[in-house]
Amino acid sequence: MKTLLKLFVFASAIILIAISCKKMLSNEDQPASGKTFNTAFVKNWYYGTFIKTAEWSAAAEKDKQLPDWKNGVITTIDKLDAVVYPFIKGKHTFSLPGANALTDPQGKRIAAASLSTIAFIKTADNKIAVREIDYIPDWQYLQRKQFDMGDMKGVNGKSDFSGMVITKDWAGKILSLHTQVEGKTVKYGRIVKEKKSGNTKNGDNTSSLGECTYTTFCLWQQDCVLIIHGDGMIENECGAWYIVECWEVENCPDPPPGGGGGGGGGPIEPPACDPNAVWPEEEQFNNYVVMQSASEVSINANTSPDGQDPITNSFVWNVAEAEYGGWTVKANTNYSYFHDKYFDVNLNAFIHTYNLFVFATGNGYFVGSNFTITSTYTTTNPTVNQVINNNTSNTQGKSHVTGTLNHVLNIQIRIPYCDPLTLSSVDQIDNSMVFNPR
Amino acid sequence: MNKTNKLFFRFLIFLFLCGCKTSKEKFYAYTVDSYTIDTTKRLMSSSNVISYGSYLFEFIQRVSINNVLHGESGSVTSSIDYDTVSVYLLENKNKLYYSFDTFSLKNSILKTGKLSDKEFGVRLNPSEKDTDTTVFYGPPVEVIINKIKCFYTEVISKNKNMNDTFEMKMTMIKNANLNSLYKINGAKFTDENYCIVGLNIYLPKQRQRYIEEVDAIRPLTEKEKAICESMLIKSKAAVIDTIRGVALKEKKP
Repeated sequence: MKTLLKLFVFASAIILIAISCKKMLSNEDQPASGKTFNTAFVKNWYYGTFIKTAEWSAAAEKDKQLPDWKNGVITTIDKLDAVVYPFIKGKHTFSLPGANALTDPQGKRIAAASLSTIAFIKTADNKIAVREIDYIPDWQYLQRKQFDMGDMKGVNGKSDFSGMVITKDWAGKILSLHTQVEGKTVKYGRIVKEKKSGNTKNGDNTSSLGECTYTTFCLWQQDCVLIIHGDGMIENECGAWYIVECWEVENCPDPPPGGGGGGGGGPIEPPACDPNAVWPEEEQFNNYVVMQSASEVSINANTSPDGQDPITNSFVWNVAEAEYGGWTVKANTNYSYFHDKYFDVNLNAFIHTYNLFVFATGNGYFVGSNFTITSTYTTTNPTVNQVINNNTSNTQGKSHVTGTLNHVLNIQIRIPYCDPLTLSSVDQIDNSMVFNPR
Repeated sequence: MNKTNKLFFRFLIFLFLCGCKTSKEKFYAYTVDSYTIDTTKRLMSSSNVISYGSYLFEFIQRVSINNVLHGESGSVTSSIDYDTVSVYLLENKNKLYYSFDTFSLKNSILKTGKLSDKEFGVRLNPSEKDTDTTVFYGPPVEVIINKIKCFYTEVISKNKNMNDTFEMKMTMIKNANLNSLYKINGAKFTDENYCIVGLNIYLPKQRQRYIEEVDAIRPLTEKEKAICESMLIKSKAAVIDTIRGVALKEKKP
């Protein structure tokens, strides 16, 4: 009887401790409330977090490539939530089967029809992976689609795409090359240094060795000029297609071992150890506020014809935006510069230089008010104006306007048991303006 | 059941209750957004805080607008950054603040001073009495703000003219463990299970409103707690008795 009682007490102890621990864990481990993974979220993350990262800066064309925010599609990639956008780039580059495999007009038509997308993928550890995914149709598929890649769905509603799917990171490094037929991956590509010897067929630069084939791929490029208008409309004026370089790709039925790098695997690489990675808490500290998306504005300014007369102008810019209570802090910048152009015989090109001999921004001034709140702008330090790389093609002017914004509620707060209180809030302002004469 | 077993069983029940009690010791992070409303609702500023027992951490931001002007095309590209540049540890007992350089385990105190003298963030300073200010709270009424269960209480004055000039409500969350910028400055509801987290003022003649909305409340992670604890330890070791006007409560006879 005593033994049974002891057993009962012991079992009760285990149950009680388990319940207690479970209760503690269930409370402590309550996840933070998630946000909907959509364009608004991705856009905020892009401008608030991503553009501050080394990953964003690593792309040589970072300032000349951006997602087409108005045409996002919410989807899943490898069972992960993703938002995919058309990718607008200053340089269109597509890798096509080598010069001998396609005629020049065919190459140009495939390059022109190829789709470049940028995917933001929410990974299992709640991070966001950015991947460029390019769809390069094969010639037969393109003919079947009558040269229109607008719909890549077959009769069953699933993808019927046939061609190459190339996944790259933000900087343009190729992570995987898959050959798809009717929407299914049939071969996994890998860039190899040397083409292995094998049977060449059809004289199309494709050879085989065992189950793998080897294809010469060439990078076709088209240079574009990205124009962002004040109303947010984006135009991309592009030149002719041309071949930049060629390389060998090994295509095998099985994915290469190890996943990432230049090999196979899906768009998401396995998590890697990164000694520089900061704690989420530190990252959260640095990006505590979800940022507003950047707004683009345009002003009327003179163009800069070369000549002996200086180009002189001034413009007013917002130091603090109107979203903060219906007012703005503005600053005025004056500039004058000479634009010289001369022909360099050695370089066989025209060289442009700029002499920015006047560049000055005022300290900033407050515009507007609100009955409930009195907001005051104070310049804490004199505005700093710098001219960098003067008399070169990269001349820049840079102004920093620093100050504080003090918001004071005009109504005394009367709370029981307290003396009347005045509510105020002070924010710091440190805003910069970069002027590029070119 | 013999005496030893009874004692053992009581000990286990005590452990169980301790477990329940520990789970109630919550630390929270949340945001208070301030808006002005007339014809439109405009964000004025945001306060990001951590409620840590009787202490409060307030994150200080710097708003940066970066512009690039291209002279040739005349176009300007702008981006807005909100950088958190420092964090205040606020304490109610001695009404002091400690300004830290970063929210990480490797942190340093930049400055200390009286709560009313802190340079940035939200301040609630006493102002001059100009009228009879006897006010009292109305009963708490449940309201959902940003999916958070809150309560508001109307602040009613015995002075009828004041009630006609503006309406004032305080927003509260029913949690005795929660701290806020109001609580740290001494503003309390009659029932201390409620914590005042925001303000709602309406001026009928001007048809303008000022509101503070609580948002994104969540429990702290273990790492965040470790960071808060390290800051707390550092603040306790800081020399504060040289701050003018501070009479340490511990040193009172």
